[in-house]
Amino acid sequence: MQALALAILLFPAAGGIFLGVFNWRGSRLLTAMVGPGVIWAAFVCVLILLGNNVDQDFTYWTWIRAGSFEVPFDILIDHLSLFMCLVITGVGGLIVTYAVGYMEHETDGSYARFFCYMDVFVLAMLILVLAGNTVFLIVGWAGVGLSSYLLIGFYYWRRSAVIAARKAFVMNVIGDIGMILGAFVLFVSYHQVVYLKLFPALPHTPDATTELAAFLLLVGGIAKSAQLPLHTWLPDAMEGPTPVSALIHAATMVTAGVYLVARFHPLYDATIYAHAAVAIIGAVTALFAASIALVQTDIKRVLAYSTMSQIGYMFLAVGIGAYSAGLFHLLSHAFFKALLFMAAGNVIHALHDDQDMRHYGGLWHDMRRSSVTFLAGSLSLAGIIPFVGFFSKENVLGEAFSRGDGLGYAVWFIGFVTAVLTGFYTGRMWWFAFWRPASEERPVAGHLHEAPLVMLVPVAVLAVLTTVGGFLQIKAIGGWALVDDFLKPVLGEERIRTNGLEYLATVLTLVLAALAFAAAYNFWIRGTWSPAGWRARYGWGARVLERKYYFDELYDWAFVRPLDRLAGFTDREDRSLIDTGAVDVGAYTERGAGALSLTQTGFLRSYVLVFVAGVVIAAVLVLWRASS
Amino acid sequence: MIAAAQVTYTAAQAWSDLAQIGPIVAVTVALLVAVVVDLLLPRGLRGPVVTVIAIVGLVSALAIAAYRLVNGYGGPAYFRFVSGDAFALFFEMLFALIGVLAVIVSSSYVRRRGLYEAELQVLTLAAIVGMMSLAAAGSLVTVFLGLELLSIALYVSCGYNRIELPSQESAAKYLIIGGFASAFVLYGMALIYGATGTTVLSDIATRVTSDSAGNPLLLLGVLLMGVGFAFKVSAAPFHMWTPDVYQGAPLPVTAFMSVATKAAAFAMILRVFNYGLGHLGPEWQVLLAFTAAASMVVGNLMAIVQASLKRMLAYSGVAHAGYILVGVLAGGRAGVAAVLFYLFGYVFMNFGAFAVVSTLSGPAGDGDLYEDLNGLAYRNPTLGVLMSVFMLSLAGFPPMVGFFGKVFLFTAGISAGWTWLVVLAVLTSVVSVYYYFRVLFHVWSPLPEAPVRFAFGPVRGPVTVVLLAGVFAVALGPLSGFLLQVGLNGAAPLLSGR
Repeated sequence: MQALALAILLFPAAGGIFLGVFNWRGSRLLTAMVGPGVIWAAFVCVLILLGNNVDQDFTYWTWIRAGSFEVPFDILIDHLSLFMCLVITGVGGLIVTYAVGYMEHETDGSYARFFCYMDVFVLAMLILVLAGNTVFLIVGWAGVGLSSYLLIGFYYWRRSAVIAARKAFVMNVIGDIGMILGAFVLFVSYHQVVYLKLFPALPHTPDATTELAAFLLLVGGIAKSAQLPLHTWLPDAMEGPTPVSALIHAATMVTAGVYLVARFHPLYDATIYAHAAVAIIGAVTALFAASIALVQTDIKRVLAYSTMSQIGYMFLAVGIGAYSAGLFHLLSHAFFKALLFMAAGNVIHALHDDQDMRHYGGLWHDMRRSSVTFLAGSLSLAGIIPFVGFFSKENVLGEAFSRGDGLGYAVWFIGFVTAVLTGFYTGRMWWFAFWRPASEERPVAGHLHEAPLVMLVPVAVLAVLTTVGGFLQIKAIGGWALVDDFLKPVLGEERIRTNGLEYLATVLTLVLAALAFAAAYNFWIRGTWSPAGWRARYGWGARVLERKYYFDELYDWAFVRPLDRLAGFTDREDRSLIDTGAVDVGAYTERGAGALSLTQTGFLRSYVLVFVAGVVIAAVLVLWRASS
Repeated sequence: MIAAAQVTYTAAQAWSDLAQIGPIVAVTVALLVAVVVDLLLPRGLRGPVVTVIAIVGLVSALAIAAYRLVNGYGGPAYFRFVSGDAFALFFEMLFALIGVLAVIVSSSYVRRRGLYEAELQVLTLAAIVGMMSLAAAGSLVTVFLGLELLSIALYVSCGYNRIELPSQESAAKYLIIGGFASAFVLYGMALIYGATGTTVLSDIATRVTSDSAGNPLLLLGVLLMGVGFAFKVSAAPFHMWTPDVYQGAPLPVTAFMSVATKAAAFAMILRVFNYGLGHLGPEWQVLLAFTAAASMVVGNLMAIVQASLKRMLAYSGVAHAGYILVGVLAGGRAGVAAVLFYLFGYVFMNFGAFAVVSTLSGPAGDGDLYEDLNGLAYRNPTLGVLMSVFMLSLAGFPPMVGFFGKVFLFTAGISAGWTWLVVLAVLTSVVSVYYYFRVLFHVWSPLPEAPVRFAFGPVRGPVTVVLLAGVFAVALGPLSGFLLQVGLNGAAPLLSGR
């Protein structure tokens, strides 16, 4: 079992190395086999571990030992890490398989490069969730940041892609710093890096140290999960190929923050402010992102904002202590958001990479299969029964409502409003892009080609999971809770007791979200209400939303430009002051060397002369030494 | 003054003594066989066969030394004239290793330059026997014997390309200046013998105490020997021969000399000064500190203005001699171990660099200008990347072995109180980055428009060597803990015997 646990990491690592080092000018078929193959192999390893009910911390070797500081390389296999591994390798395997078709237009080199990056990403993500200590957590954390950077900038010849990649990297590094400082605070205070030794050492009552550590870790979490205020990179990250958006920016990496809070739940349970901050940030981000999604015209950006919004729900859940509800929503979101991205990817692929919904329409007729799956994803996102999104979202909101204190009601209310907005913007996306008659601006005028089988099958599998996955945990309408039960060994008993009133809230949310979804039909198909009229009346509101609450402008004004000016200043001073000085020193050194080299005449007699001079100096020194 | 009659020397004693110098015996046997074979075989076969014999001899010496090092090493032999201790075994392994690398590079080089192959290998073996004797020496007599054996073999090797003027110049200059320096060493030894009445180092170590510091015979002896030793490690201001000799000698000889002679000379310094004359520390330290400082400054400054890679590497060797002297000055366990560590790492980075340059030679001559390296990384990526590794290692960049070597040397220097010297060493190392990176600049510059002066010939042998050296230069960095342990092990005999 020890070898098998390591094999989960070794398979993607081997795939990445093979594709990166050997196969970049090799066989395309081999790339298409190896790229997804290694992830499925890792998936099988996870299933075997799961089947054998392994629950253990495997230590392989000691990586660093310095005094009392010791970092082992250990893999922690428990129900939480297995749960995450199932999502990463299962949904990841589907997405990478899908990419075999989606990336077919790339040149051979780029094709191998893409799958190499994808395997490296999966490896880093698996290290992140399997790490048994904070040091390797950071290794994985930085690794996903790196591979995300590489994949966003995959089309490196596009300027916008490079800029987006840089932005994502910088934002993530801010988070990494928080993360590293947090781990450092924990080590300094409790002298442990291994989870299983660290967690028992934590106090049960709040104190300044735990609050500080929890806040610092949270900085890492919000940067990686694109929560306020470190969220600006995620929409731009849509510059990457669509499978990347599905895998990294919807299903796995961006949920790392949720995993982090769940993994460190003994820490967050011991804090008050940091824990509440998680819930508040989550709730506010959920509403904030949903409102921006109302006006976006790029289909991937709508999905990106909806991702932010849904992760907000997850943060909300883990922030109020409903960890398994948060993780259930993570699982459910991985299903339906990957589905939405990939179904949208089919459309984008067919429309020659056009992502503007205003150029869409007529898809229900031309791409029936992709449209049906997209509809399943949309209904799930909108929270319509019986799709998985309904059960997981209502699970989260139910827990918030049942908490019964001010924080619980506040975040429930924000979540409720967000759910209605979600119904509306999802409806808009569906009716406007898919249902509406074909736009005249559609880049492909005639019949559209439905995606090939290799792209349709993963989408179909996810569509099925989206439709029936909710029955894993139907707690929201009263009933079993398999996810809660599965995660109980790690996360403990569910803390929040329900009182029955939340079912009323559930019904209310469901009805209003469904109405909002339907109302979108009136806006964009029937034209009962016209978007243009609303825009005329509330122009300022639309502008604020379209400019995304001016966050980019604010950051540009507050950070980017002052830093730019500072850099310009130091650059000028460096050139005029330091560079000149350095060049002068170099020039004098060189001139000195030139003078010195005159002694190297090539004549033996002068060599002997220098030799003898050296003897004389040495003799004087030795005599001086002996006499003193 | 032992009467001959009192000496009883049994056969068992003879075998045990022979075992103590096992590695030296192996190389000597290979040398003798090679000489005979060279006479008997037809011309076409001589070169390859002698090369194989040389490699077999060197590898068996390496194996014997390694075996003895692992299975408990020996001690004094032949009436304490030599020793088979861990220090000797460390250097014997080192020389055998350098020998293998040198033989491979030379065999390819002589073929490309149209020179005789067999004799060069024989000369290399002879020099290695001398170096091993030097490292194993237990007496001043053995020291001088080894010194002369290695020197004479090298004088001939330098002039090996006898139809070329630079090669003749190299040999003549080396011979004359080398003879000059040998006279100093010999006179110094005579004075030491006069002052102590013995040539055996362990006896000198007991007879020379710190009270003898005022003895003018000893002082003069230390001075004269110190000058001669500084000449051998090519430390300034006794280094003037180095660039001329390095430039004129055939490339594999230069490569071999630059690392092996240096290592042998440092073994000699450690044996004679740190061990034999340990109590005169303050006296020889002032001499060595002066040469160390001069070497670092002169070596690094002069390397900047060279146009020829051979000359640049010659001056860089002068500078490195200065760094290593810091470890000799520091002394003690840490200092000696650091010296052994550095010599081991230096072998690979410097030999590797020379081996790369040696691939640039053809029948017309050696391509040893910076410009000849232009676009190397694209013409031959393996060589280009590894040349960069060697330069980074020489400049002391982590994680190469050169970085760790400098760390160990300088920390030993600081703890022994040589702070000013270490400060100078660090400052001059910064200067060295300039000329090492100039090589990188040429290696990675775009392919030249004009045709390359030297196209690659059959260079599989040197490429193997370069690869080997490159692997060592990189891998010894992370493995530095292990190598330092080996160095500490080798340092022990010099410290416990007193």
